Amino acid sequence: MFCDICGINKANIHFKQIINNQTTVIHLCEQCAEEKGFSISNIPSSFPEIFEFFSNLFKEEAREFPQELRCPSCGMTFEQFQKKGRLGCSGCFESFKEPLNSILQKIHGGITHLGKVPTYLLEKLPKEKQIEDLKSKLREAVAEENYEEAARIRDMIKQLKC
Amino acid sequence: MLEKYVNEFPEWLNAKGKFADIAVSTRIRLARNIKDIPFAYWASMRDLKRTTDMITSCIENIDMLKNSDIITINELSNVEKQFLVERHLISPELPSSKFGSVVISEKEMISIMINEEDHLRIQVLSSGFNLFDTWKILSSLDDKLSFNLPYAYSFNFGYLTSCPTNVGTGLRASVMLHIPGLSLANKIEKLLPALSKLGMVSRGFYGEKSESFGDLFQVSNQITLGKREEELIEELQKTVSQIISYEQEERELLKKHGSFQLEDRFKRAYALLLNAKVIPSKEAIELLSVVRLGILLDLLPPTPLERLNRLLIIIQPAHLQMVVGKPSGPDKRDIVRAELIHKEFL
Repeated sequence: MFCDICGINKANIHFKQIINNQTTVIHLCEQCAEEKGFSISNIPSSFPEIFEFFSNLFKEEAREFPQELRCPSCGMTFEQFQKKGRLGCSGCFESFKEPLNSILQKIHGGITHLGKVPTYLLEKLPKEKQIEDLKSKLREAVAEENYEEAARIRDMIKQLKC
Repeated sequence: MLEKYVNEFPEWLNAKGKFADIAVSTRIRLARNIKDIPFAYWASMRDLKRTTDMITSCIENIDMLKNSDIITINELSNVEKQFLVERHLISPELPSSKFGSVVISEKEMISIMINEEDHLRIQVLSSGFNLFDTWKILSSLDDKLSFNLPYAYSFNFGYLTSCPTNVGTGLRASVMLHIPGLSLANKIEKLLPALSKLGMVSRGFYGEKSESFGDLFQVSNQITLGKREEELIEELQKTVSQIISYEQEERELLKKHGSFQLEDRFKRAYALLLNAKVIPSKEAIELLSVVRLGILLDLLPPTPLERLNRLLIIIQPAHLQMVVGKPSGPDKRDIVRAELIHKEFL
């Protein structure tokens, strides 16, 4: 059984909550449990604390991992990926971009490749790399609601694509 | 099919590399996939055959891989598959692939697994502590392959792999260390958690998920994304250098202040290896570890390190079975193992 949060590591910490006969179970790996402030040494002692922990966890889970996501290239669903911990094709990286970014950040502490480029792509590098870099800056500008900067970057991308 | 491998030994066991008394071997692998084809776990049989054809036709034009063997895993017996796992040429997972193959270069320096978790797992193995040279060879081979193979790659995420833990560089570098001095000083328990804080991970010698026997630890990088390949290698280089110097210090202390009890332990282990008629695998590995340290501290008769390295490999079950040449149970193997060890030491 894999961790409900990262979908990668084996779950070895299990929580069960029963409220009004409604049972909710969460399975976590040690790392994610620790990150959520729920390590063995840090178990909430009172009921309100436990309740708060559960509701926060579900809020985050619902935001980070929309279960209905499906990769149009290979047909794999995000749920299938979570169960197996393996992606179906390179298209999955685009299809599951949002949740994957958070998973990759957790695993590697960074989400931007700084290493080698395949030989067959080297010729294309200057322009494509520039566009990729600008796209990433554009995302940042939008996230910071700096729309003036975003418009400037968008125009630069357009120019490069011509 | 694998007869020639039974009587030949890979170059990485020759103990000629740097710090070979502590670092048995260095291994670096790259995970790669081919663009627009589903990853091996999710691919159809047709896709898997296509990737195999694309990769094997590419290999024919690469000088470093001239005279390589291309072996289809499904054509091997179970013992032969296990033999390749024990030899560190394939992973324990490759035999589960629907259509897996392996390319093995001369002297077993390079192996390329096809259709394991990723379409390609390219590895270079070398003797001793040799990260930078090993990387040079691997990177150059990778460049040659990617000249004709369109790898799955994004400028943002780097090399795209089936498991998110390999995305980015797809690089896993590891050094196999024999650190009995640190073990005797009870320092391993402190060392291993410290490694994970440095972004490194430690595994046993006998496969990725195996526990550690015989004070043999494989130390490797954990993260693959967000840093350049050279940076990842440099960090591992620093960590391993530190472990090697700690082990050297412990060995110096043992040389200076070694007790009768310690010498007795070495000599008992040596006597057992030389005289036992039946030796199970785990016991043999533990004894070999003690004897190896005893030899390096000059408390036992000198024996070439290369021979001790070879023993680590050839005492494993599938290797013994290949030597015997016919199916044999664990009891028979334990007898053959004992005979083989006598032969190597006499």
